[in-house]
Amino acid sequence: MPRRIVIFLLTLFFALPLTAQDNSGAQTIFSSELLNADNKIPIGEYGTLVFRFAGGDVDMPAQIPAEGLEISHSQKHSNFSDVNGVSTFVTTHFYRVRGTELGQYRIPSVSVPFKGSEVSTQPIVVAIHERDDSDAANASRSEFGKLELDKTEFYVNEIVPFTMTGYVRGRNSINDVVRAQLEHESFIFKGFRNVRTNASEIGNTLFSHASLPSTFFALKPGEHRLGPGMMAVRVLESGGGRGLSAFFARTSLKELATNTVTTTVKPLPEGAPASFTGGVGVFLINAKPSTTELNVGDPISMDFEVTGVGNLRTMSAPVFSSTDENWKTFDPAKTLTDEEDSDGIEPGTVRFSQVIIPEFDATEIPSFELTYFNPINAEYVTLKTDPIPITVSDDGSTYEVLEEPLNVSSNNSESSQAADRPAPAFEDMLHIRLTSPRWMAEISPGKPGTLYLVVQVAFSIAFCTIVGFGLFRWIKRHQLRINHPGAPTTFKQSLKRIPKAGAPRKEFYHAVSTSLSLWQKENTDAPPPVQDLIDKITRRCETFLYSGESTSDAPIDPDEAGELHSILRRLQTQ
Amino acid sequence: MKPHLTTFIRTVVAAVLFAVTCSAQAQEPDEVYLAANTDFESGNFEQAKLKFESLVEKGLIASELYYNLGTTQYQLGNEGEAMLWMRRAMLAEPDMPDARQNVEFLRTRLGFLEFDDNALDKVLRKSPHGTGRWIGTLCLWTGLICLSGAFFSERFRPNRSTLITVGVILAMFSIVGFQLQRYLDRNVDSRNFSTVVAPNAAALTAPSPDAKAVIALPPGSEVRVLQTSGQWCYADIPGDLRGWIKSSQLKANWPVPPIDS
Repeated sequence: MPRRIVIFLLTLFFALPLTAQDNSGAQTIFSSELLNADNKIPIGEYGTLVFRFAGGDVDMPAQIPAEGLEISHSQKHSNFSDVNGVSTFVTTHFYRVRGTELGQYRIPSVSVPFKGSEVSTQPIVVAIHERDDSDAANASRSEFGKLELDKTEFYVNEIVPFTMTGYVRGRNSINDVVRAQLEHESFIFKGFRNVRTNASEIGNTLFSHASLPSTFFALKPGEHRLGPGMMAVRVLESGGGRGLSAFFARTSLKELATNTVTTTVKPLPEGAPASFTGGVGVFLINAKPSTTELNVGDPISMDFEVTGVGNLRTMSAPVFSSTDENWKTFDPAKTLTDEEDSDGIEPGTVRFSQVIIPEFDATEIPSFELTYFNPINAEYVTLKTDPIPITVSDDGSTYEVLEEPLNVSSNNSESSQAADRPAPAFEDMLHIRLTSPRWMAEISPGKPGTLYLVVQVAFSIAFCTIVGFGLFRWIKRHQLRINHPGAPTTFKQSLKRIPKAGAPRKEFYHAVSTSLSLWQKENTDAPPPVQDLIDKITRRCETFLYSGESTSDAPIDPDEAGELHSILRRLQTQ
Repeated sequence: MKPHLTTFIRTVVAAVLFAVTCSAQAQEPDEVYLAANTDFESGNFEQAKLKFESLVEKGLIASELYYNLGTTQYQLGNEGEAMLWMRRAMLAEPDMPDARQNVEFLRTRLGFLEFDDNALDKVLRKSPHGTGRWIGTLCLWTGLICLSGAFFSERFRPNRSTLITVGVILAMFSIVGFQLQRYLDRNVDSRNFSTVVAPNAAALTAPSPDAKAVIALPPGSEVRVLQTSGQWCYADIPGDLRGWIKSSQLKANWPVPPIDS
């Protein structure tokens, strides 16, 4: 009886939720809610939007289109919940919401099909607001990003250093920076090349931070809002262990949004000289020709080295000041490496090379001009190279290559430029050979020669000899086996046939004698002490077998048999 | 004593006459060669060519002869023939610098097709002829002797396992050696190649004059004949190509066929 009650109670226990679920059609509720306070999300940061469906599950879209917002599905959770006093199956879908422009935006109503009809949520209005970037506010966050510019007012093309920093609460919390992104259509960013990690206190709270320094320059004048920048950092979940625990600590990826910065980009003043080539900063120029003595029509390669702090990327080559048409000029080439580029703080170097050709007997290379804009004094500055005296002749005489190459300091003036190796021209066939020919019997033979055949024969003889002797020995043994069936043919076989202790003495010694004679045949080069021992035992066997002194056919005693067995075994292993 | 002396004198005279005759016969090719050189230098290239060819017809072999004949052919405008004779000169004297230089000149001038040497080809080209065969033979015989010693000799019985191991390894090396020789004969030895001598030759898709072209073959191009069918040859062409070429447009690098052909 009690057993039936227990079964009934268990059935009731499992049936109740199913009943609630089956009846959930009557309890269907579909709602949406933004979990951020006052429906406000800081610009660039993620807010959480949830959709709850009571009474089953529905298929939710991966993205929800909304103007000015990015809304994407992140996870789903299901549980039984008490809805209006009824236990109901509730599914919760989580979405991430982010806005990158300030303003108020609307999350639209979401409709999903359920059991032949559609269920919808109410639209939600979201405010994307500027983040409070004060220390007090930041100290209350577990992680955040920060964008800092050296200056917020600057000129077009002016290099501006900036730093993007990710902060995570706790010492040694940041494992590494996976990626960083800061984009704007009016700015050119250099990219993040190195990471500096450290720790500091913000409002009495210790934060680990990873800083990514870089530079940018603006393309368009006007007011621009820069940011929010995004940083993905790998964070130690254990709170930053040390030693072995840090090695095994688990990490998670966190996306940090930075604040935004409003910048004012000023246009370059009007009235730039013709020799202004786009450089903004403070620069110096150095020019050097490849030669100073040449013929009319010979090229001169002018090498320029511009050094300074500023934007070298937008700078073009110095301008040739001469308008004389007798100077033929070609397009200049520019060389700027990332390693030599200026970061706005440290100076950099850019190199230009231009070929010019005097088509008359010029006495000097006219000056080249380079104008740049100095943002500190807000003025254009023109640099001029000094005219370089040259000797141009039209008699075809050779010209001298400058001994000192470009970029070599003056104390290295003894080194000289390596000459180019001339390439063969192959303009005609060589003349015939006039020497007497060396007649040959044949060119290197394609077929094997006599030596090859001799070697074949020698190896064949050696091989056949070994195989022949082996076969001869085998045939001999085979015949012996046919003539004396049962007789051992090898020492190993004979050992197996030696009787044990207790066998007739004569039979025992006969077997030992046979074994010894086979061993001697197989081991002709045995060392003398072993040979002596064999002889002694052989004589002992012969004495017993053939002297007639012993007529007894008594069984051999164990000691004697054991001694001989031992000797024969040692011979086998030798 | 007197008859003996007469016999001796006769014998000596006969020997001297024989030696002089032989010497005259031996000098004859040299004289023809020098005469051909003289013709070349005087601009009589046709005569020079005929004289050089007469020496080749006699089966005489010399890198200088082939080289001079190649240079003469070039002067006569037969650039494909010139390249063929330069290749033959380099077969007789692989490191002949004059021939190398002329090949480089013709390569620049004609833009003919050649098989590219890979790293293995370059090494094998420098190795003595028959290297692979010698490696294979020596390894095979030594391996066989090791194996026969292991199985048939009582003396080597204690070292049987070592001998079997060495024998098997050497047998494997012998396979490598013979394969190397096979590769060398097929891909490296220039005797297996032919040279395009006709000026407007082309590889076709079929052995028919109406067939579509696979590729044009400038004179001097190198091909490897795989099969001959009537007046056509099916050949490997540089650049992993194959096609049919008229036999009359090709000449084998070696052996030197009769000049008329």
